[in-house]
Formats: sequence, C-alpha cells, structure tokens
Amino acid sequence: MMVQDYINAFALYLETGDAEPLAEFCEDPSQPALFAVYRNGFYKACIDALMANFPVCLNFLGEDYFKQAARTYVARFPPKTGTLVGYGEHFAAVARELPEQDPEKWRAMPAATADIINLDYAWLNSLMSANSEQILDSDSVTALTEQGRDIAQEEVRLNPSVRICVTGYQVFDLWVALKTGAEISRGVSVAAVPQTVMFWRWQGDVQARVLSAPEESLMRRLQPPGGRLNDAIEAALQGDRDFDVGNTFAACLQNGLLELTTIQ
Amino acid sequence: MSYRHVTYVNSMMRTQQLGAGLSLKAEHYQDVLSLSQADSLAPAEHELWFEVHTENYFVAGGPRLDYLRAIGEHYPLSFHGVGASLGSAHMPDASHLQQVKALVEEFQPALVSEHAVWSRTEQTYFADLLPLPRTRSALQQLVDGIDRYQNGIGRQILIENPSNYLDFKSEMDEPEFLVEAAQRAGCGLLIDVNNLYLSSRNTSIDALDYLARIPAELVGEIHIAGHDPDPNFGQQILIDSHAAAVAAPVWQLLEVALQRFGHTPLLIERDANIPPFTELLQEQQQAQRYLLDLQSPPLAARQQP
Repeated sequence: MMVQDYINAFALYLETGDAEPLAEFCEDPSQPALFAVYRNGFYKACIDALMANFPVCLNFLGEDYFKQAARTYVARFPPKTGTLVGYGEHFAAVARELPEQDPEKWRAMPAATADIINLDYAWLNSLMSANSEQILDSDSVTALTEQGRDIAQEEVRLNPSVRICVTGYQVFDLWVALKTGAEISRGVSVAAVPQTVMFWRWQGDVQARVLSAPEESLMRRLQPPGGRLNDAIEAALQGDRDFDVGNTFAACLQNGLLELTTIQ
Repeated sequence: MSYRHVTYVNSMMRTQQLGAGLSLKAEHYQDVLSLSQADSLAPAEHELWFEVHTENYFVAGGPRLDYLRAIGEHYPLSFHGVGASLGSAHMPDASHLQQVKALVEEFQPALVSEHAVWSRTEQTYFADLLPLPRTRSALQQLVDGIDRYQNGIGRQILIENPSNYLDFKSEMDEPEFLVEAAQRAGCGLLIDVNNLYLSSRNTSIDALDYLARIPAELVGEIHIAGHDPDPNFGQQILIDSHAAAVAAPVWQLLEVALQRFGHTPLLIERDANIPPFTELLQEQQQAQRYLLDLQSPPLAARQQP
C-alpha cells in the first residue's frame, strides 16, 4: 500500500463524502459509515474556528443559520495552511454571493451580513497584528520639538494594528451592540449608506470608531508606508476646510495611532 | 545537525521537575496570572506548567503573545503542535517551521511536541489529526516529517499517538510503528492515555499490551483528557473531544502508564466546554497526586499490617 494513495483517498472522502476509494484501505468493509467521524471532525474544527473568528456575525445570524453558512464556506474555502488563526478570509464574499446563487435557500440572510463579517474580521486582524515599534505620543512630539524639528514635516504612518473597513450599510452601531451583548430585536433594519470604520489596538484592547470623510482622507494618506504628516493634513482639509486638525492630531497621539517611520 | 538515530532520553534537566500541567486557554489568562501572584495558593514552583497549541500563537503581535510572555515568566511552557502534518509528503512546509522556530526560540519551552498523524495535502488543511496507515512507506514518510520538523526548529520533539476510530489495513501495530519512528527520527514519545483508551474501545488495540511495549526511556510526556460518545454513533465510537473531565477508566489506565514509565510530565487537556479555572486546577491537583503516589510504596505494601 502506498501511503500517498491512502491520503488521496482520505482527502477525497473529506472533501466530497465519496467513501469508496477509502474503503479499500479499511480492515472491515462494513465500517465505512464510521468514516463520518473524520469528516464531521474536519467540519466541526473549521466551523468552530469560524464561530470564534466571527462572534458578532454568529450573534447576528443565530447559531443554526451561522453554521449553515459556515459549512458552505468550509466546503468552498477549506483552510490552506496548518493553522485556523485568521481562518475566514473570504467569508464576507461568500456571504454576499450566497443569496444571489441560491435565493430560495438563503433568502433569510440579511443584506448587511457581509458588512458584519468584514467588521469582525477587521477586529480580529487588528487584535493579532504586529506591535508598534515606535508609537508617536505627546512625549515624543515634545522631544522632537525640543530638537528643533517640525512635527508637520515628519514622516509618519499608522501603527500596524490599524484597519480601515468600508461597509455598504450603516452597521457599526449594530455591530457594537451585538459585540457588547446588548439586546437587539430581530429584523432590525440598517440604512444602505456606506460607513468607514477604523479599528486599532491600544493597550491590548481593540478600539473602533466611525471615521468622517476628512478623517478617512487623513488616515488613508498615513497608511503604510506612510507620508509627511503635513501632506495628510492637507488631504483632509481639501475635503473640509473646517476640519479640526488640532483635536484630531491630539486624539491620534492619545490613542497611539501613529508611529514615526524612522527609528529615533 | 540531524537528530536521526539520536536516542531520546526523557531525563533532560528541563523536564525533571515538571509535575501535572494544564492546557492554557485564553479564558484563563488572568486567572493564571492571579494565581502566580497569590503564592500561598499556587502549586509549587515547576510543579504546575502550561501547554499551548503552537499554531494558536502564529500571530504577529498583540495580547495573545503578551499573555503568554507574562505566564511564561512564572511557569514552564510546552508547545504542542497540531498542524504540521508530519505524516504527509513534503510536510511540514518552510513557513510553518519558521513560525514554530521563532516561538521556540523566544519562549524556550520545556517541551515541544507534535502528532504521528497527517492533516494536510498540498491544497488543504483538514484541521484534524488523521490516522496514518501503519505501513513501511507511511513510517518512512513520518520519520522524514519528524526529521524535517526537528531540524527546522533545532529541537528534539515528542510525537503523540493518535485516537483511532477505525482499523485501517496495516503492516505493523501502533506500538511497533511509533517506537520505530521515534528511534529512527531521534525523537521521544508523548503517550496520550485518553487516545489510547479510546483506541482500545474503538478498535482492536489492547491498551495494556500497548503500554508494556513502549520503552519507558522514550516517553517524555503523558496526556489525559475527557472524551464523549459520538453524536451519531453513540457509545459505539468514543470521540477525543477534550470537552469533559477525565473519565474514571482513563485515570485507571494512567495509573498503569505511570507505573510503567515512572515520573513523567503529565498534562490535562481541555479544549472545549471550558470550566472555571479553579475546576481545572482541582483536576490538576488530582493528577499531581498520581505523580506523588509514585514516590510512595505500592498500595498493596501500604495496606499490609
């Protein structure tokens, strides 16, 4: 018996449920029904990982409906690498496609589901992202100023934990309520108006807020590899001449959103 | 260097003092840190230790790693891999090994282990510990996988016996397969007593004969855990769920294993239905008593007038 033939037969069974080739490797030909133990284990592990990675979506859809969607996802996009950390990269896209591909089966899927999934995934990615090497805070700004440097001319970038997520519906308040365990009435409606949500990690916890248009312009200019702070401010002011640069910059410092691109 | 044919000896300094350990779950990070600060309640130094699934720490940064660093300052750690797929051709891959190596180098765990199974093809990770046929070609593939893993991370490892739910056609039995794999690859064995119990219930494996044929000097760690009946097949198939307290027959088999292998780092695995930390700690204390009893005279001798 060649081990690769066995693994190929096993993989085929796990992927498709076709037990015939694998049965040839079994001591007792009457046992193939028990192969289901392995297929169930594969699906359970992946669905459990999706439940852990998308807790708000789980809460939003309810466990049974979520598991149906998750099972479909696992069949289409099984894990590729030897870890389930971060599994579910394409879950939002699949959730968006399901009602189009099979309207009868998925007609109860809320239109905002993909947005909820995207927010969950941005939160997860922010949580697991690299630590910042040099956060720009008020002390470091003071130090730079004392060295005679103009902070507006410094090259800065958003810290590695920042994720900016654009939704098609105004789901942020709903997502926060579900995340924090607030009671939500089923069938709650959300406006089909885009929102830009920023996530970042501060002192071990992931923070999130909706960005205004000029704030989004500012943040996008500072996404890695980053740029001159003054250029980012100019981009924000182009969208809104009344944009409050001082308060926004202070909030960035307080929340550890920025880091210098060069180690001091 | 290659570890092939290097004999694994379980008396390495770093594991001599390890007693009963626990799976470290995110739900218990704060409890563990609080325990380390309450010295009067904390089990003796090096008695308690914690094991993590290595791949759960394949993250770039953030609180998961921060907590592990903080806990690693107080307690020995063990890294238990579940995704390397040592029995698959050309596995584990370089990216996987690099991430394990980085963790091992940073945390210097007391123990590093993996499984004598397959779980990946080139296209798909099946996220389960799937059995290998016990054939010569599978043995060679497993030895190659262990060799790749040990060379990749620069450490000897332990490999764990699988849970068996079916008998597949084989050329040798599991003790022979595992011992030869360990001897040829220069690794040790992690004997999961719960897996062994399940295999003896689900398949034709004889647990007592199995334990008698494992050389004690190869065994570097023991696992025990809870199990459940399969939701579809009931008591016909017992599943390695890690979702319940350790069952009485597993404690009994553990006693046999400890008599055979002597003092061995002993881990209680729990991965689902996570109870309060104090409940797990009580189970850990029970396991610790099994280790302490090894140092006492045999029960029969103690009962004589």
